[in-house]
Amino acid sequence: MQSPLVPAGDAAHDWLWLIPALPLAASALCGVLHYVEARKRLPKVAHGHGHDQHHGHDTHAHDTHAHDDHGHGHEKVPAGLAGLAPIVAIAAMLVAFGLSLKGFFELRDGTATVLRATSWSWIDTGTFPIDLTMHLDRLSSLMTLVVTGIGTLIFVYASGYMKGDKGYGKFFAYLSLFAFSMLMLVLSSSLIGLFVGWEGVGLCSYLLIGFWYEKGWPADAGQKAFVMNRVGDACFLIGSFLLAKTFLTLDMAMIAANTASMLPEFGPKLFLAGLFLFLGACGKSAQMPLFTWLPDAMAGPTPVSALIHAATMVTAGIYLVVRLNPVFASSPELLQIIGVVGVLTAFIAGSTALVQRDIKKVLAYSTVSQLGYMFVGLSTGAWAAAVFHLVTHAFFKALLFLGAGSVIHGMHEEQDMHKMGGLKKHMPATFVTFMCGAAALSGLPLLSGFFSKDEILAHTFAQGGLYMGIWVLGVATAALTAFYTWRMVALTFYGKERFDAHKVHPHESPIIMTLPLMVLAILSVFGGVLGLPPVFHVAHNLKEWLAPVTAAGDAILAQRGAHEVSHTVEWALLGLGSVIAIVFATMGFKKHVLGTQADEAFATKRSGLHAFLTDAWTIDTKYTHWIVQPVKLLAFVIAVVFDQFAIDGLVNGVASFARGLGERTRRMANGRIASYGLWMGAVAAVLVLVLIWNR
Amino acid sequence: MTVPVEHLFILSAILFAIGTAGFFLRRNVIIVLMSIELMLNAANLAFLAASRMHTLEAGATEASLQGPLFAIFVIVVAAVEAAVGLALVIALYRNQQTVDLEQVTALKN
Amino acid sequence: MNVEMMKQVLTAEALSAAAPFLALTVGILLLLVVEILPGTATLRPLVFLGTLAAAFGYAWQQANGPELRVFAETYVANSTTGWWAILFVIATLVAWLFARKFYREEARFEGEHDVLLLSAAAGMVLMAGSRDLLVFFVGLELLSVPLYTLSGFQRAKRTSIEAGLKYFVLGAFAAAMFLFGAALVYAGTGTLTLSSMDAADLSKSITIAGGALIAASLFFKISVFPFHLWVPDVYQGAPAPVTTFMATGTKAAAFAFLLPMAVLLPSDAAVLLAAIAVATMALGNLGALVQTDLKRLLAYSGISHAGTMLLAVAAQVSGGASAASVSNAILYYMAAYVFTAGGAFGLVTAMESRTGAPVTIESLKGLAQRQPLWAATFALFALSLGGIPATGGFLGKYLVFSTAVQADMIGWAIAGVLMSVVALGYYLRLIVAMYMQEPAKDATHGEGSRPWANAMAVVCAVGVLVLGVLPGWFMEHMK
Repeated sequence: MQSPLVPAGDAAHDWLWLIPALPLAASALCGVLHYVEARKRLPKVAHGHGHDQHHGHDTHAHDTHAHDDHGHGHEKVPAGLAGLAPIVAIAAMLVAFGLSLKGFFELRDGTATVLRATSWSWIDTGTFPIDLTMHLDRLSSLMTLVVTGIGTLIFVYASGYMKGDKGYGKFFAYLSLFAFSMLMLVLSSSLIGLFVGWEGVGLCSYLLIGFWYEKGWPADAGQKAFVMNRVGDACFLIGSFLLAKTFLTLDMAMIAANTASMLPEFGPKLFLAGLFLFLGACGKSAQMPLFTWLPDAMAGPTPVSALIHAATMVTAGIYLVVRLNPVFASSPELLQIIGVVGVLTAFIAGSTALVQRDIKKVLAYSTVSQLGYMFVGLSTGAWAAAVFHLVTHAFFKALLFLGAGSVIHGMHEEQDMHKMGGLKKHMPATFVTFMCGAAALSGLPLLSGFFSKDEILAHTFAQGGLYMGIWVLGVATAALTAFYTWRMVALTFYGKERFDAHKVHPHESPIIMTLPLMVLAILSVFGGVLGLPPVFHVAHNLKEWLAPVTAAGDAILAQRGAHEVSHTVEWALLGLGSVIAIVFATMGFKKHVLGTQADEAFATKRSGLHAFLTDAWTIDTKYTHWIVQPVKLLAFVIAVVFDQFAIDGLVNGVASFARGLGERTRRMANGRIASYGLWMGAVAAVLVLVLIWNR
Repeated sequence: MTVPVEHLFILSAILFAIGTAGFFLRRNVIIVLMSIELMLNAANLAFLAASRMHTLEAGATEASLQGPLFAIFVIVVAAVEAAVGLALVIALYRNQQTVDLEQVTALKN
Repeated sequence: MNVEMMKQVLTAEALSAAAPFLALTVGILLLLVVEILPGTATLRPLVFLGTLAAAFGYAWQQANGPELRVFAETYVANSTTGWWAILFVIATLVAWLFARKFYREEARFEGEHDVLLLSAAAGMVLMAGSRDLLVFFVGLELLSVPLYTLSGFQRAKRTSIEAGLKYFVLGAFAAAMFLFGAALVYAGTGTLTLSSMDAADLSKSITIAGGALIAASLFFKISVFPFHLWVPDVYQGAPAPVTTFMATGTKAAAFAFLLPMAVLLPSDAAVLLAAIAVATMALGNLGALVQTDLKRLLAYSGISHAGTMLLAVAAQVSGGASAASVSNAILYYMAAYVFTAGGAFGLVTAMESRTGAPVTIESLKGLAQRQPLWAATFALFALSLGGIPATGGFLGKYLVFSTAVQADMIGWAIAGVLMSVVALGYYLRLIVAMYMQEPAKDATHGEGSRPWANAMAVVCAVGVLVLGVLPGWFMEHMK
């Protein structure tokens, strides 16, 4: 069923398999190293009493609350054999990065726009055959570069950050497994292959969030992330089913190539499929209404937050939409839904970030907010702009997270910004790089975040109509972003030292952690060259690069008329963006550079609003109230009422009906066997009657 | 004088219904077992009635023997089930000194 | 009976079609002999395993051989029945291995235990191959009667007897329904053999009523709503190895016959079946959410899985999905389920056997530290039950839901997929308990080493992974 539009797999590109396979192999190896090391460390005691001693920290093992002040709750242990784990994992990632580069250059210099390799048929019979084909086109090439490139940097950082943790080997096993799943996600040609990666990253995310499980609450957070993701996954599957049913294939390239011709006949079906896929994307990319797991996911180790919950996994939703861009382009209503959801998420999360005290929570809400921007970009059909923001965001948000990790590391696991302050002089390298990231995030002119955010807003402005509203909220969110970013910088690095200098001695992190920061800082500052706006009269590199991928979607959009902004307006918008970023950044910085007074004043004067914002507009609470509790209640009702009262009730009902019939029925049994039988008999009778009736 | 085949079916349905009612209404395990026997025999009667019906049908060239054959199997199986059932009842009585099904509710949610 | 007739019936073809069944029957007789003859008791495991090996070998031949229709088309042997037989042998083996060293007071009756297990296996093989209501009934009783006895095998335990009695009383009731249904079908069509029923007779009211009764009695065996009520009670009360066997084998055997028998159901029954399927999934999953006893939890989980498979049957009945794809989907689902549930129940058996106390979620806490292997494999089983990719459970679900999509039952498929979200809630709870919670001070479950259980857990885990990662090989053979 190959269409001429999609080239067949070519054995010459079989090396593509190595890109995901290498991290997988590294994961297995790290797992073995961890296992061997853990075995060695077991105390030599008689079997049967083992479980008392296995736990080095039994004293506080039963009191989960005791850990919050204990940092990781771990004693530092020498890594031993597991010390090899980061070397293995980083080497695998480096080679994978090299291969991604090879693919990139082949695409750039060669004539082909797609490299495909099919070397494994997963299911070759049944309704829908599945072969796992590797599909490297210009979009997935970009994604593999981001995943392996930033991934390598974060792995290097993590090898310093996690030093001394008793799960050192295990950590790299999970991280590598994550890298494998993420690469599967972006390289797979079929929806099912993508789903395998999609589930895999969710699972790894869950494992890594709950990594420090003795703390108690991270495990719950991991569970929440997992279950919320599953809601999204179910929607994703439904969307895939609908697409499979419509296109009779699961190959995404085929679907994208054929959408335009299917559109007249299957318009509503495509809308529905797109809607469900978008809901799936909402789960993975933390959009309304499925975003509350991401801030909770910050319970995991910081490198995990940087890699999974900022740079890679959460962008899977964006990737999915771009990959299937014709499906989404086919319905203007769908695009509007995406835009509204995106901008609302961006605004709500941005306003929530204003009042957070936990540095990682600020970054988490900021991530949710920026992902919202990307969806806004997608909703205008500006696929390249969204990918542009995805890439720059990966740079600066990974940088900010790692920087925050460095701060937390130096502050002995303190995450509350109100207990920091004045760290500038203690951690100069972290400070400088963090400033670069903050400047890029807040959209200060000429940095990477400035261009990518501006491009999205310009496209939104150009659409007019409903999109004007979206644009206004988007600009407001840009102001919020600048404000909370510089509030964070001021509280962390400036002002008086608000920690107990006798107990806490802030120190700069080792070079192995600051080196990745420096690389990311350079990327954050200069990443903007990937996509300069038209007014600069240079080529928009990214847009041209992605043109073959987005052509099908663009063609559908072009039929409805193109929206462009004139250069004058473009200049005006750039100017407006600059002014807003600078003004609000200055405000945020000035108000908080002195200390926590501004925060406290806000918390006391506007306590209601403050609580509302702190709790992320109480959405999570509402979830618990409206969804979690009812499901639990329903389960309880089923278990107790249905399985006990209802059954007995049915029997009793029959009993009371029959009571008038005679003396003997008084002895009617309402024991459980009889009631089980009664149900069986009753339903069998219904079956018989209904089927005969229907004849 | 022959009994019309419909009457046989009606009789077997009535027997099946009585058996079912006994199964639902009685609490003594022994009587429940007897009710099940009644249901099985109702099925046997239906098998025989159907066999007779098909044999006497216009155009039938040979006797329809599958029904009676099935009935014989059912009789064998009924004996087996009675043996196992009574064994379980004895075990129950030894264990709990009761044959009242209503007392057998240790397992529930 | 004259010689000529015997020659007609007992052809070489017929014997090879019945070979897996005959191997098991011979094994039963040998086991009985071994029990009686003094000094041969040590031979028992050898005879048992040899019997299973022989049955496996014949089943393997069938799985790769041509289709045989024998005994006047009342019995067939083809690749599907061959694979079913292989599954039954594996389920028996898993249950038997987990039963090693499980019983204490009843240990001296282990010979009887093994004989009963083998007869149940023989019954299942007969059920899967039968294309005739009488042959099926014999198989059904050959399976059920030993299971009644096995459920009440721990005669000193109140719960075991109660489980046996409940299963027996309700099972006998279901059997009576089957018989009456069979009698009605016979009255309507004049035959008991599925292939010789003609279309005109199949649309008679009396045939449809009979078909509905037969379907209802099969629903009892596969345990879908509302014929599932006995399942949690019986699974909880029966000895754990027997539960393992019931959870995997019985369900598989009933599905194996439900598929050919579905010709008795009119196509508008599909909606009814789909509704039952979705209700079953909902009840099973929601029921499992609130359970703390592990056997009960897995019982409810098994109920929801039966519902999922019933959806594929509904797709077949509707006429929208081909019988072959439905049969493949269910076979695959069941194969994954035999390994997954076999392993999961088996590990519960292993944990229970030490203390005899019921295994709860509470007692799973900290298992990762006490028994890393058990925890790891159990986590894998939980993920497979939840349908996470790269496990057999995922592909089973995928195939089943794709038959529903094929039959244009997208709404039902969506409902089913949503149910699997709820399911993850409780599977995850198990993993969290094992890996992320501290054990209670007096935790005793799962201590000590049990090489048999370890080996079986690994075998099941490998099965789950192979089915999840390399399905191509099975698909090739199942065609």
